[in-house]
Amino acid sequence: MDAYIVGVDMIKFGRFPEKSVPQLGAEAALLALDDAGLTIQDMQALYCGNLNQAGGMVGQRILQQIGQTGIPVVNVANACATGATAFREAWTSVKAELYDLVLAVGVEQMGRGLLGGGASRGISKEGLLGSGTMPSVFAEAGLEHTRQFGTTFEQFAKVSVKNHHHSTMNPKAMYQIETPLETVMNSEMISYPNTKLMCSVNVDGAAAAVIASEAKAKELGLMSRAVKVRASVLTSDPWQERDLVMPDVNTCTRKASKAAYEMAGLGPEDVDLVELHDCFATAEILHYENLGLCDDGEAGRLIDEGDVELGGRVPVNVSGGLLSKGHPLGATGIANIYEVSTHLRGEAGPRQVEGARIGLTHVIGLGSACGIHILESAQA
Amino acid sequence: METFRLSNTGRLYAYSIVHRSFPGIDVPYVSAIVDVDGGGTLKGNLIDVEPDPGAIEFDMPVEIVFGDALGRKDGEGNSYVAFFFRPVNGSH
Repeated sequence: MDAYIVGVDMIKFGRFPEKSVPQLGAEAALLALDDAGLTIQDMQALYCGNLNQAGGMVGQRILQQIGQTGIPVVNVANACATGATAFREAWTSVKAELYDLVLAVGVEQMGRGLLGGGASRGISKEGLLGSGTMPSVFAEAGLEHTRQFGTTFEQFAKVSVKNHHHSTMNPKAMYQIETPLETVMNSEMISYPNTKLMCSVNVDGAAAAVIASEAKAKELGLMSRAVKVRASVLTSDPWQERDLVMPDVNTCTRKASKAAYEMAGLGPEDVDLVELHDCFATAEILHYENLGLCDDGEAGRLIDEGDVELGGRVPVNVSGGLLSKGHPLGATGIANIYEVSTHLRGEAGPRQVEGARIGLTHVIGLGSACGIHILESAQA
Repeated sequence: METFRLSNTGRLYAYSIVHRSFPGIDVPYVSAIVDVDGGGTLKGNLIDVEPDPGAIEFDMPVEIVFGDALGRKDGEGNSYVAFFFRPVNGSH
């Protein structure tokens, strides 16, 4: 039995210090329920993704806001793959025919500043044994690509120009600001080659989706705007020689994309748009190849020739991506499902990818978790 | 499990030039991934080199040197020894 998204939405990403995490999650949940024309009374289970309050029973506290119906609640944390993992657990429950109508929510409230580094006993290693900040870790991964294929600082920067441009057409993005190439390259250098405008934005956000079995979606008359989940894949990272000092941000995505294409019976050439994990501009370049959008070594050409822009062969991150829409860790994996679903429904307005029928969403939790979904318009 | 002695030389695999770190950390510095000759990979600071991509080459040979951990002490006042990477003379 196939599973379908019958309601999906996100709040506008931004900074909402006056609100609580459950409030933000509740807002997204209600938006997704409204989108489906359903209520929390109709939901048989809730799968809730949140990272920073992973011990805080966020799902139950969302229900305190929108209706304590007594349904099972599963709280999920999986780094930046948290939202996609919550969605996948919801999907799994429908595929297993345990439930036929469930809710997935991803929510996060972020501070400002650099992520990473981690706690350590003794003395801090930061700036002593290299850097553990996320901009540095992904800079090193980007320069590994430079080492192999000669990818340039300018090519990495072009990713940011593109995604910021896309976000000018997305009212739910944190920013709607054009950033020309010179602006991106000359903004504050954080960790070469990632400048400040090549780092994702720390924002608060929430997104939610209602998943139904095919029979339930038909029974409720919700097929006309439904989105079919053609593939749902989660991987962890296999052992790799440099693991201890250099997270492998590539292999788990390669494994996941291969498995997802197989599950869907599709190939990368069938995909009309992609929302991928551009936590840093360097990362997006790597994932063109990891997702099979081009051959190895061709990612620089892909950004140079505009293949991945709106109007190009396979538009990537037309939402503005994490770089400009923002990256509320636990919400990101469902927000990108909202974006692709909106295009498949033909409801994306000025940024609509014309004729989109198949889309792919991708997140990674550092090097150690990757979630990929392939979605298809249910309209014949 | 067997103990294994790493050699004191290696080659630069990848790096980043860090211009902004956490408060109190001196910048800029070069965060480097080094493949050690004979096996193993280490991460540390590449020192005695300009923090400029023009001055840094992939695969440049480095030696592993030891020194005080930038004066950092733990909560009990203990000093630490750290390793650093230094370009081998004449390599760049």
